[in-house]
Amino acid sequence: MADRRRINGPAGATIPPVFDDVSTPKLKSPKTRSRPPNTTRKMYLKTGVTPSASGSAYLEIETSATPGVSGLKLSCSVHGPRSLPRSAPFSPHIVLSTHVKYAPFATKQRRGYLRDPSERDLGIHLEAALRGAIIADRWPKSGVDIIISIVEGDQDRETSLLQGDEVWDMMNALGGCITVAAAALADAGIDCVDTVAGGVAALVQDAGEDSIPTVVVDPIPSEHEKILAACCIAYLPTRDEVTNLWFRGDLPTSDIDLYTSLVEKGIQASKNANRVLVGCLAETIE
Amino acid sequence: MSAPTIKLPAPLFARLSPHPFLLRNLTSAADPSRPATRTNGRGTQETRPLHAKASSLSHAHGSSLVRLGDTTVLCGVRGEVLPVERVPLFRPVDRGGVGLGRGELRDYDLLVPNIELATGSAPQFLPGVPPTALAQTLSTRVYSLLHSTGMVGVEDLRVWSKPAGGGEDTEMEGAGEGQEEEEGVKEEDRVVAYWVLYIDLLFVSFDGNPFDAAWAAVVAALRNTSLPVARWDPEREMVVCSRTEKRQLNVKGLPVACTAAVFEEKELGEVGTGVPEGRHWLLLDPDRLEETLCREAITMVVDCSDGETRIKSIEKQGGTAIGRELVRGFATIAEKRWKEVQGAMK
Amino acid sequence: MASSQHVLLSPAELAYLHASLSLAPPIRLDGRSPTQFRPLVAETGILPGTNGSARICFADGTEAIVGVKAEVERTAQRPGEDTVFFEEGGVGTDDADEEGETRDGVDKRKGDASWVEMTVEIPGLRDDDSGTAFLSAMLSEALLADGEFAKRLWINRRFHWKLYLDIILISPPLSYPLPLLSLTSHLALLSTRLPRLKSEGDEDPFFDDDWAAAPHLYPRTAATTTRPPITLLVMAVGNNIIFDPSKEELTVADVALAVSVTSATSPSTLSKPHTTDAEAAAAAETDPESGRNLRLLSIRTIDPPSRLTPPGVANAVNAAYGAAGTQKATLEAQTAAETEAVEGVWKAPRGGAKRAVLGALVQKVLERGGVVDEVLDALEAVELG
Repeated sequence: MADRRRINGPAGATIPPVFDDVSTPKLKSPKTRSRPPNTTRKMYLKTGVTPSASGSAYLEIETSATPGVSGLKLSCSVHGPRSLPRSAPFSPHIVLSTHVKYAPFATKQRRGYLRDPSERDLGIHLEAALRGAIIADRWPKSGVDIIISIVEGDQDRETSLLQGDEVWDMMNALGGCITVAAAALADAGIDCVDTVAGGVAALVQDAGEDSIPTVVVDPIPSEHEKILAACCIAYLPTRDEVTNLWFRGDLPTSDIDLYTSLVEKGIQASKNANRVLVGCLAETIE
Repeated sequence: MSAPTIKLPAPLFARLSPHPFLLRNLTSAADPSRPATRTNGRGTQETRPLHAKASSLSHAHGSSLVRLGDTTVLCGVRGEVLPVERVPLFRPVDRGGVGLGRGELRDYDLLVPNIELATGSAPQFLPGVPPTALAQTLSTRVYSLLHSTGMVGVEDLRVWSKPAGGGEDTEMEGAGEGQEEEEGVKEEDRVVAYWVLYIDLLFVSFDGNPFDAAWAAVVAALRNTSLPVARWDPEREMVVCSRTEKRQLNVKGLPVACTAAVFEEKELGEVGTGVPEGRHWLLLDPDRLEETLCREAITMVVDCSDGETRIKSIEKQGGTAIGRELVRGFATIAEKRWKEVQGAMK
Repeated sequence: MASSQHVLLSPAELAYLHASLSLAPPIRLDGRSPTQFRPLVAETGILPGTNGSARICFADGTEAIVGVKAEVERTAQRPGEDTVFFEEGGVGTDDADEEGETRDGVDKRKGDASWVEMTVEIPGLRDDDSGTAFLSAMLSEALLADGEFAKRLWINRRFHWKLYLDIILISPPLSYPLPLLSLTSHLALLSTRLPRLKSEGDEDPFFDDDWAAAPHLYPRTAATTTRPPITLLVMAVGNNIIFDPSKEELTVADVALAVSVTSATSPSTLSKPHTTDAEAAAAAETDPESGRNLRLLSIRTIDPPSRLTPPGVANAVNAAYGAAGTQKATLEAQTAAETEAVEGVWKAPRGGAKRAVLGALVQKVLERGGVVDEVLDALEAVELG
């Protein structure tokens, strides 16, 4: 049933534009990575974009050198800590509620206004990542809402074939969500053990099926021929601890080193993001 | 014995008793001749500067980012194709005939604006709940204004079975190809599909006057919209779009919304019906605090783009303070606002 | 979410439990060894109306049923390699032939993640609950991670099987249901059979109506050891690694991980080439006893419910035990209580997991001849109904 509280448009389903590639020359095969494997993309972080919220932040990850590849754009607002409603049961800790939502225009396909399972899933990952960082017992009986709008997803506009990329895009989005939420939490003045930041690393195969896979940080799915595995890590640098680990892919268990190096690179990416985060927060204090 | 005086910092005072706070700001007992100043430091007729940035998003066909003080709105316009066989009660249109104009736009629901406030844009707008009454009202107001101003012509949204023969269209590239495919078949030129424009508005930050900001974002995004050139592929029986060619959407006029709220001296709840008691102030471009304290608001949409001021819509809610004179005077204010916004939109 | 349900244990009980699980070797509440699973009852083929089904009942009373249904569905066509995908319907299929031809010779079996639809139902939780979404994402992620599973559903270039996997927990979630649901789905998929295809090429498919002739989705021959994935829950307390934690044990976990592994056919017969020389070498020396080639599919940290437990109060700062010293002393003691661990006083863990601990957890799961092999062996022994 259509949601009568929104304007739903025509009754017949509409089709996203289908592009004609027969008459136009074929697009170039997957672009190659424009950065060295150990370099993350530049990111821009700013706090205080929503003045009426307790804390807020905006993160933009630079568009890579190839045109048409959109960068990730995230906006996060934190409301709280505030008292829980009277009906809520007693909690000795702060109750976190995380909410991640793609804007309808954020991805290749138009997103609806209701959260889909992948957005809920992102919310849970984010909650796990932040819960480890927040000193939760300093706010009993209170709650905090962390809301992230993904204004623009990290998707290539040109490569239109679905290569199962959404999963990897989700990882990139999660990495950004963790970083931007940490900035907004700091902006809201909520005590954390450390600043947490997200980092993504992937095992990619660039030159055909038989080539030796390499580990790269901050991957853009469209820049690689095939992604074998990837992981997203939320990392606290001063404590050297991982609050959230999400690995996905297909790795032989006989070679645990491959997994370990993937995690190491993920941590490295997270450290890079953390540098930007700390720099941004330091700037705000000045 | 004098009553003990408590000194409150301004933000605390504003939170505890907002109405007297705003009233004290507007009036000055010490110097009655001083012009009324609002809590945000603006004069009553002073608006916040509007900043508009077009084309900030890459996945939408048109987009804009509009900042009005601390109110920030993002708008994305995305076109999707609606084949005519999916239109219930479709009335065929031929190229020569007079288009059914707005009838098509409205009957087939080709413009779909939606406003999302629940992004944590203000403490009262938290996600996970159905759209609030405000969000629904705003969406509907934008929807009806889109139709009543006739900014978007239906001609831009039609997709024909044969490429246009006229010179004004840019569809010519595909023409040669199209004729080859149609060899032998003498098919009538007809509308095969429509573009549906999904206009999604996302409030990043909310600080009052959402309608003006949202409307400015819609206008800016539509003026920035370029739809890919679409043609009918008779072999596959579907509409295909060119990846390289795009056509700018033809937007007529530049309607600008201008909102003011009326602040009454008497606090909410005690004002009866009939003649307003006490003084009142017209606060142009109200912020979040002011909006909560005002029960009467007027929005006028004007378009001066053809040299003459045309009033596209007047909406007034609640209260009794705004009379005939004020409405007339308000047109002048709206005109001034139009010039400001026009400057920002360039 | 499901993992963070409140367990009614006092801080003192939590501290005791944590201490006993940190011993070497750990002492678990039910006397199990760290790697031992809870006893379970399993059966397959319980639902005659499905293509495959299974039921598992854990000793603690949690019970799950999984049903697998398959339907033939038309594959949405893509006009060209580089074309945007579009929804099914309104799409011509005429060009499918010349388009498909070009890809012949290579692996033409293609799979798509949308061919599998998984629903998870937990009593007492709404189906749009985040916890359910998380469980469902975790289970389907493991199933689809290697991209091989969806290929099994390929019929021809125009049709595929659409697989509906319905996972229902029929008892209240007495413990974190992930391992149970995963094992039950594993069994159900093992028992799943799809009717034998009688048509040829790309024509509209028709099938043999003899159910006895229907092949299994996962053929059980000596040549292939490919099995559906299993997801194990493993947690760390202190230096100990504990498998299949009960609800109470999970409440004192320092870290909890859900690790999905699968057993694939040896790499030489797989379409996937050896990724590295090291792997090729490793594959050659795969444990002859188990004959399995385990592959790691996914890892997720589970937010341990221990972070939500109420903290204990040390006697030193408890006024009821005469700790009403000077204000300064109390303040100092309180600072100490917040920052340092006091033995025997429960404190919800802060921060994350050390890298080494995470590494050890994963290594322990992936150990050859370890728990995964044991579990797979046990499931193999379940008679297919």
